[in-house]
Amino acid sequence: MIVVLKNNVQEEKRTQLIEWIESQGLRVHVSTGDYQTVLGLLGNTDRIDMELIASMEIVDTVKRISDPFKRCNRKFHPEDTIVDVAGVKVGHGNFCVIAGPCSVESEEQIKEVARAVKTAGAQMLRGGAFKPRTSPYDFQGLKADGLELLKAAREETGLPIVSECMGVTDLALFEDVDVIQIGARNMQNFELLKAVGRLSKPVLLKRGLANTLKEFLMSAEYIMSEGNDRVILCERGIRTFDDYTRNTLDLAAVSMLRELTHLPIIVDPSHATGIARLVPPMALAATASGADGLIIEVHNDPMHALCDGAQSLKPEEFDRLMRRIGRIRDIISES
Amino acid sequence: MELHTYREQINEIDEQLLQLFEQRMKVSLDIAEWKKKEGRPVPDLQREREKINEVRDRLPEELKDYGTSLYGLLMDLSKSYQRSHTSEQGKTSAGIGDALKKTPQVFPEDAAVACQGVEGAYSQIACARIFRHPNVLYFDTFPAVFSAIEKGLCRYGMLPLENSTAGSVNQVYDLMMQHHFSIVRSVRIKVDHHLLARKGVALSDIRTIYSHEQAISQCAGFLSTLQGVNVVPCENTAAAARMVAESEREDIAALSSRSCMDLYDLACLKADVQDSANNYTRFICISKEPEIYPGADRTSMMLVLPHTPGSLYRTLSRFYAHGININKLESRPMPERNFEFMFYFDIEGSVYAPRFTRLIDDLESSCESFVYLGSYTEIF
Repeated sequence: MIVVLKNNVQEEKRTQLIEWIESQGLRVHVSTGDYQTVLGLLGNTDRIDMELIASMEIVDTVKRISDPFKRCNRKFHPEDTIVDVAGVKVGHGNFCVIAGPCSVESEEQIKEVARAVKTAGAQMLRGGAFKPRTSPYDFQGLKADGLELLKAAREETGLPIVSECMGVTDLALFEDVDVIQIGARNMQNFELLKAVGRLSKPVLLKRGLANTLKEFLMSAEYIMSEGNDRVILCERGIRTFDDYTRNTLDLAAVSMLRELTHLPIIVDPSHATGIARLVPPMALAATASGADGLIIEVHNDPMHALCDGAQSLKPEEFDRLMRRIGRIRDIISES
Repeated sequence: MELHTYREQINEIDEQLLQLFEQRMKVSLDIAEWKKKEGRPVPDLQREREKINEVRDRLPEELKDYGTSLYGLLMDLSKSYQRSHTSEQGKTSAGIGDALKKTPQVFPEDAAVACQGVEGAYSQIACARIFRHPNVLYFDTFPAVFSAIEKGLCRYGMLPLENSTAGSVNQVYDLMMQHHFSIVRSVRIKVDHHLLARKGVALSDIRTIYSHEQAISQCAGFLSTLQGVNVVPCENTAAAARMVAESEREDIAALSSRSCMDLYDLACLKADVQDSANNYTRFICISKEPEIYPGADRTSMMLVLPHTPGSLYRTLSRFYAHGININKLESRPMPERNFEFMFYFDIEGSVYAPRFTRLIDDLESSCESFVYLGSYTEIF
C-alpha cells in the first residue's frame, strides 16, 4: 500500500501517521520527492484502515499495490534513483559505460585495458576474478589475486571497479571493490542477495538467463529489503529457441522496467550476443532504448583471452563504438 | 376541624407507613438473600405484574393509577436496596475505579488530537483551550475522528456537541451509539462568525455564501436580511473559507471564524454576524479508554429504556433518589428501531461520592442498555 502525502505537511503530523502505521506491525518506506512524499507500507496491510488514512487532511491518495515487489516499485518511489559509485552517477539521465575484460588475467593485461577504456571514455572498469564457467575444467579466475590486480588498475586510472562475487564466503574479499556484481546464475541465490543487501555498497544485479522481469525485480527486492537501496539492474539477454546468438537481448525489458521500477537499468550487449561484431549494433540499440548505461567486454588480445574472447571488443573497436554511442546520446537528450 | 388536626392525622398515618416501609425493606432484603442462596435473579417481572394487579384490584377506581405509581416506585426502591446489599460491584463502577487509579494526576499538555475539518476549524480553537501543544490532525468526517481514536491513530479527538443557538449536533450524538470512546474534557467556546471574502470584494457583490449548516442556522437572522443571495451548506466553516480563498470567483463569501480570515488571507465584509451575542459551542474531548482526571465533576452516560409507560419517569426518579442533579437530557431516535430512543444524560457531582457509585450500579442493572461515557471537567 502507498500513501501519498500532500505538499508541505508539518513534520509532527507526518511523524504521528508514520509511527501509528509502524505500531500496527508494518514498516514504512519514506520517499521524499520534490513534489510529493510517498509512504510505502511494507508487511501485511490487510488490517490497516485504508479509509481512515484516506480521510486525513494531510493525505492526498491511498492506493493498494498488488505487485509483489515494493521497495523497487516505482509507485513507492516515483522519482528515478541515482546510484553514486565513488562519484560516478548512474540513473536519471546519468549514462555510464562500464568496460573491461571478461576476466582479469595479469597485471599487464588489466592495466592496459583499463588505460584504453578510460581513454575511450568508460567511467568504470569491469574484470572478473571469480568466474562462473559452464565447465569445471575451464579457467576459474585468479580469485583474490585478480581483485588485487583490479585495485592496482583502479589505482593507476582512477576508474571505480566492478567485479562479480559468486558466494557469501567470498564476500569479505570484496570490501574494497566499488560495485559488487551478482551474476545471472546467482540472480536467485537468495542468501547471497540478502548478504549484499546488508552491505552499504552498490550492487550490479544481472537478470538470470531464464527469469521473468517479476523474478528479476523480486531479486532486487531481496537486496533492498535488507536495507541496501543502491541496486543497478542489468539486462544481459535471455535464453530462447534461437542458437545463432548466445542469448536473445531483451531490449523491451529496458522500457518495461523503466515503468515498473525507479532503479537504474543498464544493458550488457556482450553476454547477450556472445559475438563481438554484434556488440556495437546492440550497444547502440540499447543506448537508443533509454538504458542508463552499458557494460561491455574489452580485451587487448581477444584471440588469446582466457575467457569469452569471442565476444570481446578490441580497444580500438571500443573507442569507435564509444564515439557512436555519444552521438546516439546526443539525439536522445535532444528529444 | 383545624389544619393542625388534619396534620396530626397525617403524622400518625406516616408513622405507621414508615414503620411498615422499614419492615417491608427489611423483608425485601431477606428475599434477596434467599434468592441469592437459591441462585435466582433478584428481579421477578411476573411477580411485579401480579403485585400491581393486586394493588389495582384492591383500590377504588379513582386511586388505581396512583397505586400503580406508588407500587412501581416502591418496588424500584426495594430492588435498588437489595442490589446495594447483595450484588457485587457492577462492571461499570469497577471500570471507573480502575480509571481513577490509572489516570495520571495532570492532564497532558501535548498530544495528537483528531479534529474534523481543515486548518482554522473551530475545533482547533477548542484544542488550543485544552492542550498547550496539540498536534492537530484533520479528518474529512466525524466518523473518521471516532475511528482515529478507536484505532489509536490519535490519542484524543475533538467533537462539537451542542450550540447555544442552533442546538445539538445530531450527527455526533448518533455516532456516539456506534463507537467506543470516553469523554475526558469538555470546553465551551464563544463562536463569532464573520462574513469573509477575497480582498477587494464588496458585500453587494456577493451572490453565494458557503458555511456549515450549524453556522448558517446561527446566523439565520443576518442571512435573511440579504437579498438575492444563495446560502449553500458545506462540510465545515474552515473548508468554506478555504474554498473562497482558492476560488477565482468574486461573488462568493464564507461564514467562518476570525482565525480563518488570517489563515486564508481573506477580508472581513461584516464581523459578528451571529444572531446571538452569546453564541457558544460545547466541544467534547474523547479518548479510547476512560481517563478520569482530578476534579472531574461532570459525567455523561447513554441509556436505552424499555418502550413502556413510565420507564423514563422511573429512571429519572433514581437520579432524584440518589440526590443527583441532571444537567442535560437529550434523546435521539435509534436507527432500525421504530421510535425507540437513546437517552443521553449529563449529571453533576463528584465521581468519588458513594451515591455516584450507587447510581451507576443501579442504572447498569436496571436499564436495557447502559453506557458510561466518562467523567470530566468542563472548561469555560
